[in-house]
Amino acid sequence: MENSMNYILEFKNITKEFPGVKALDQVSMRFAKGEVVALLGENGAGKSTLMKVLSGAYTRDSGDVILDGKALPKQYSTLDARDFGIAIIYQELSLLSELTVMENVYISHEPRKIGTLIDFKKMYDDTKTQLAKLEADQIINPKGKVGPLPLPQKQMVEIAKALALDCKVLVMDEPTTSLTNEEAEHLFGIIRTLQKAGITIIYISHRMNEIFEICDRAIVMRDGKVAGECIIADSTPDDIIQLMSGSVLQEDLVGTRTRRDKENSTPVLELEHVTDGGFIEDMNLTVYEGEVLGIGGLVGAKRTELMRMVCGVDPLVGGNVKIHGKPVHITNTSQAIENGIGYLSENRKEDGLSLGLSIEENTIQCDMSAAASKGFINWRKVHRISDGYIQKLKTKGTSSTKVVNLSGGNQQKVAIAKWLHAGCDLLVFDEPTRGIDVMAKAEIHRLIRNFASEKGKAAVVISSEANELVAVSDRVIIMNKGHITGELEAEELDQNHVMQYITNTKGR
Amino acid sequence: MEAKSRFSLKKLMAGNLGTLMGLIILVIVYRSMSKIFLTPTNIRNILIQSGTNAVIAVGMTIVVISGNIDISVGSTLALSSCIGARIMVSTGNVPLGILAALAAGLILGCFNGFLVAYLGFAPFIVTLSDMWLFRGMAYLYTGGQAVTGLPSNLSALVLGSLLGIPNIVWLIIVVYVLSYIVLQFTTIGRKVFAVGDNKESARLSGIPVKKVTLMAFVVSGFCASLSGIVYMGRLNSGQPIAGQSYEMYAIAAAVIGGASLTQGGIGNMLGTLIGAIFISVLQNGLTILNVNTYWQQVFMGIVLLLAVALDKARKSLR
Repeated sequence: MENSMNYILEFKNITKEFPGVKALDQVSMRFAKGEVVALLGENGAGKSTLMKVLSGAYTRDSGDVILDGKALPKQYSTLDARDFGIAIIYQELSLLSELTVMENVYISHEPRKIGTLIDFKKMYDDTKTQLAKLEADQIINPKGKVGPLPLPQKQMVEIAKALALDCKVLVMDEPTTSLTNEEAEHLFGIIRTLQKAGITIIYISHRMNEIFEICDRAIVMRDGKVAGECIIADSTPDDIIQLMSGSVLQEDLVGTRTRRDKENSTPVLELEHVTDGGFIEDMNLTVYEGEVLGIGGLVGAKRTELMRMVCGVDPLVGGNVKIHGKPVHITNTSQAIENGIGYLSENRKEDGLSLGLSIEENTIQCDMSAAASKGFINWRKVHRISDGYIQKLKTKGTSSTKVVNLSGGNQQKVAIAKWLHAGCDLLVFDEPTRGIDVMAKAEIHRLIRNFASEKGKAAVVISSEANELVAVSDRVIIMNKGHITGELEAEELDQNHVMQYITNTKGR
Repeated sequence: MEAKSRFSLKKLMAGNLGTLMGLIILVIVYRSMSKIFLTPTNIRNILIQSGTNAVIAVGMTIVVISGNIDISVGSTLALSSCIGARIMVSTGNVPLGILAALAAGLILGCFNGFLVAYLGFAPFIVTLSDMWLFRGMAYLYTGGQAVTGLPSNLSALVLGSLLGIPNIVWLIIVVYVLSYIVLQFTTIGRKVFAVGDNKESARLSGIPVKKVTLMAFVVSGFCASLSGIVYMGRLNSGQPIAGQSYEMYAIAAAVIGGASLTQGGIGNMLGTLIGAIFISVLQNGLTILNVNTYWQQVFMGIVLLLAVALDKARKSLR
C-alpha cells in the first residue's frame, strides 16, 4: 500500500530556526495525490511555519521539499511557489477587493495577446471555466468586483485562483471559521470535487467534526515536530486529542480551585441576553467574585468580540450588563473603567500598548488621576507607581525605558501593569501569554490569579490554549460561533477534557 | 520640585542635542562669512522674524504629536487677523479686536478638529480644504483689499519692548513655556502623546481620543490667530493674503525639532523652538549673504530633507 501510493508532496527533515526558537525540528511528512489531510497543532506547534516554508514566505534552514518527484530549490518566492502548483488560502483571504473577480483569479498570470496586452476576453472565458468547476459560474460574475461578494463566494474566487494555476497542492487554513454550517457543507462538497480531480488538500482545522467528515488522514504537530498521525477511518477524535496534548509541560495552578457554590457566590459581572446583532445572539454569563473564568474556543468563537462589547470597546447591540449587581450602561472604555471593568487586548502591538512611550507612561495610561492633582502630573509619583509595578511584576527595564525596546513578555507585563493600576474589579485578559516564553507565562498566570483573589475582584481569561485555560482558571466555558457550548467546573478541568470541548467532540 | 525640573531638563537636552548642534554650526558658518551676522541688531531681527512662525509651530507641534497635521494654519492666520482688523478699525478698540481674532482662531480650529475627530475625515484633506475655504472667506470678507487704518497702539504693542526685550520675544517665551508645561506636566498633555503614539491603545485605555484630537486642532487654530495678531501689528494692517505657505514653515520647524509626520507621539517644544529659530537664522543669513531667494528655497528644502534623514537614522539606531 505504502509503495503503490503516489506521493505528490514530501517534506524531508525540514528545520527552521528563529532567534531563540526552533520552530521546525526535523519535520518529515508526505501527502498522496488526491488526499485530504488534516494538519493540527496548538499555537506555536509549527504548522504555520511549515506552511510558510511551503509557500516560499520563509526559507528553510535545512531539509528538502519534494513536489511531484522533483526537489524544490532551497530558496524560492511565493510567486515561484504558485508556479510550482502550490496554492494557499489563508483565513484572511488575500484578494484585492477593488479588482474584478477575473483579475484576481489571473493576477500576475494574465493571459496576453499581441505580446503584452491583457487578453480580457480569454481571461473572462477562462475564469468562467474555472468557476464552472466549482459550480459557481452562475453565481459569480467574473467581471464583478470582489469587494462586495459575500465571504463564501470570495472563498470560491480564491479556489478558482488556485485552479487557474493548475495547482497540485491546496492548503486551506481554517476555512470554515466564518462560515455557517450550510456554507461549510457546500465547501466540503467542493473539497471532494477537487479531491476527485487529483488535488491534494492540506486542511488546517481543529474542528473534529469537519476533520472526520472530509479528511483521510490527520497529522498532528507539537513543539515544532510531528507528534503523530492517524488514518481517520481507524481513529476517534480522542486519539487526535491525545496526540495534540501529549505530554505537554503541565503548568501548576497557583493556589487551589474548588467548585464554587453559585447560589452563595457574589456575582461581579452578569451578562443577560447580550447580542452583537450577529453570531452572538443571547449570551447569558455570570462571573463570580474571586474566580478566574477561562473562555476557550476556536478562532471565530466570538470570545474577543463578546468581551470587547462588554468592556465598551465595541458598541453593545443589545442585552444587559450588571456589575456588582448594578445595571450599567457603558458606551465607551472610559465609562467601563469608571464602572470597574477593563479589557486587556490580545494584540499588544496593535492596540494594547503605546510602544513609542515609556514604561511609566503606559503604566498610568488608564488612570492618570492617581499621579496627578488638578490635571497636573507629579512625575515623582508616576515613577513610584511605575517602579512598584516593575518590581512586583519583575519587568526588565526602568520606568523611562521605551516599551518598544522590551521583549514580548516584558511588554505584556507593562500592559498588565497598566490594567492593574486602572483599579478595575473585573479584568478581561485576552490571550494574555501569546508569544511569550514558558517562564514568563507562569508568572503572568500567577499575577492573574492573585488579582482575582483580591477582595471584590474577578478575572476573565480568553485563551486558545487548553493548557493555559487549565493552568489559570477556576471554571472554563467553551464558546463556538457566539454560543456557549460547554462549561467545565473546577473538578472537571484537565487538558484533554477542555480540548474535547474546544474541538466540538463534546458539548452542545 | 527640584527633582522634577532636573528630570525634564536632562531629557530635553538629550533629545535636542542634534538640532542644537545644527543651529550652532549654522551660526558659526554665517559668523565666519559675515561681520554683521552676530550683531545685537541682527539677533534681534532674527528673533522678531521668527515670531510668527514660532507661535504657529507650537500649535502645529501639538497637532503633529497627536498624529495629525494642520495645513490650514496660514489661512486661519489670514481670516482671523482680517476679522480682528475690521473690528479694530470699526470700534477703535484694540483689545476687542485681539479677542475677536483669537475667538475666530478657536472657532476655525474647532471646525477642523470636529471634522477630523468626530466625522473621521482625513486630517490632511480636511485642512487642505479649509486652507482654501478660510482663505477664500478672508478675501470675501475684505473684498480682497488690505484692512488699513488700524489704531496705532496695536503696532506699539506688537513692536514695543519690555525691560529691553522685544514684546514678540516675550510672547515666544510665554507661549513656549506654557505649552511646554501643558505637554509635559498635565494629564491632557500626556494624553496627546498617548493618542499620537497609538490611537487604538489610547482608546482602549479609556482616553477620550476624540476630545484630545479636537483640542489639538483648537490649540493650533488659536496659535495661528495669535500669530495673526503679531503679523497685523508688524504690517499695521489686516491682509487677506497673509500667511501663505506658513504651514510649511511651521511643519518644518516641528520636524527639524524632532516631531515626525509618520509617527505621532513624538515631538517637544524646545526642539520646535530651536527648529523655528533655525529656519529664521537660515533665511536671515542667506539674505545677508545676498543669496537670491530661489537658492534660499533650495536650501530650505535641503535642510528639511536632512532633518528627515537624521530622524530616520535616529530611529534605526534605537
